[in-house]
Amino acid sequence: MNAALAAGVAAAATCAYARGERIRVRKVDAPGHIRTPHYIRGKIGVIERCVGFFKNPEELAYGRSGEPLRALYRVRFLQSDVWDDYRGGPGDTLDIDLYEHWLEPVTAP
Amino acid sequence: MGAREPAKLTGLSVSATIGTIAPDCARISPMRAYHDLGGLSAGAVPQEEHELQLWEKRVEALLVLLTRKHILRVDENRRGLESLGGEVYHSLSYAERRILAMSNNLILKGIFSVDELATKLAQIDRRQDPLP
Amino acid sequence: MSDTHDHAHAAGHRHPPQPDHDDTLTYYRKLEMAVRELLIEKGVFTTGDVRAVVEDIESRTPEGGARVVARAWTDPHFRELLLNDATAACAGMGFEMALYDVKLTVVENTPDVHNLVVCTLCSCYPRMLLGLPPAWYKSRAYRSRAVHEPRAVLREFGLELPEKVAVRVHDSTADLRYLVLPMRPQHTESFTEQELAALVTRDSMIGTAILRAPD
Repeated sequence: MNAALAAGVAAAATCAYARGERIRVRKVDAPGHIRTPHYIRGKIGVIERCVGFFKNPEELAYGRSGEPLRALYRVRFLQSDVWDDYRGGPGDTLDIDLYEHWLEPVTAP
Repeated sequence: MGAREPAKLTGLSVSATIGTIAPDCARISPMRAYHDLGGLSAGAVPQEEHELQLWEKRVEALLVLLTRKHILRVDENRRGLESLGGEVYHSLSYAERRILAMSNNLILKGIFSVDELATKLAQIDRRQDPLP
Repeated sequence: MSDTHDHAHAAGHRHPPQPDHDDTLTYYRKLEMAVRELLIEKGVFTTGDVRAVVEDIESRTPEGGARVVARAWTDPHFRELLLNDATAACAGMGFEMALYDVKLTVVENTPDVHNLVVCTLCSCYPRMLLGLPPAWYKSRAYRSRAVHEPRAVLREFGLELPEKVAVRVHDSTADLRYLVLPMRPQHTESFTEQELAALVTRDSMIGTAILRAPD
């Protein structure tokens, strides 16, 4: 993993999104092996950090190389933004590791 | 013999070996995969501890060895689980579905054939002492 | 069809557990045997390899994670390293990390933030430090509810947190594996690292428990 990560960092572009940036998770229903949970699609969160570059699991799942590497982010969501019926503290959050191709910029506030 | 018998297995392994994702039962929503559980309603979390049986630890060991030797990737294992079909996924135990998905994957990869598996299973059956 | 399957237990729950020496070998136990023997016959690995991995699996217990936690409590430099590069920090303590092709990430509990770890899509878990996950962690109920109603789930585990403490749930969806660094219990200033490690529970490193001051 470390060797691949090092090679990926050398080859890949920079992270498209910066810490603190607001993003929306794409609201898409896709076939195949998906690591973006259904419950988070369409939700708006904030980039906590760009974690690094990894092979795409959606491709690895079918025996493919998973390259080029994809940027992975930890994205933080307010629970009250994720669930209409959330019961808990106003500061409660949900952190999920999501791939760049599942994120899109938020154009409107 | 257990309640879950090979007759069901044959149909599932055929669909899994041709690499299709088994159609979702659509119990939840047509677009949510059956393993994608976050946010669904469920009862209390069952907290009883279960010591893993030896065969269950061996299933984990096989997965570790196969991934270490780059024969299977963790992602392929997961996709295999996601191809079993919702009914199987939710009715088998953790280790049962892992060995089933692993077996399907190994056949798909040509590590052994369905015939070889069938022959081996029959061999194992013959080894068991008949019950009095 | 699942609708007529009125079995109330989550997947992974068996009753009663069948010992390995039971006369009736279930299909899946036979399948494990068949797959293992075929792989050995084909030279993919040996019986010894399987035994060695089973032993490694059995040797990894929450005591590993507890030692890391105790070290972080007593050594600020180690704590810093652990929070920035947990894999390197644990490798430095002698844990064999390279066998697991994932990135360990440690998240710390503070008076303001309580962390809880789940894998809604499967059962990702920091096995290199904690060993195999408990059945409840892999259960349908935990995977479904921990992200949606974490405080209700924590209540079931006997943990009630005030609203001013933010509950932060981590859904392990990619190659990061999360371990919670619990807060050090009060009245332990005189404890040795070993005594501290003995206080750390598995559940406190998943986030379903906190550590109380010792009696």
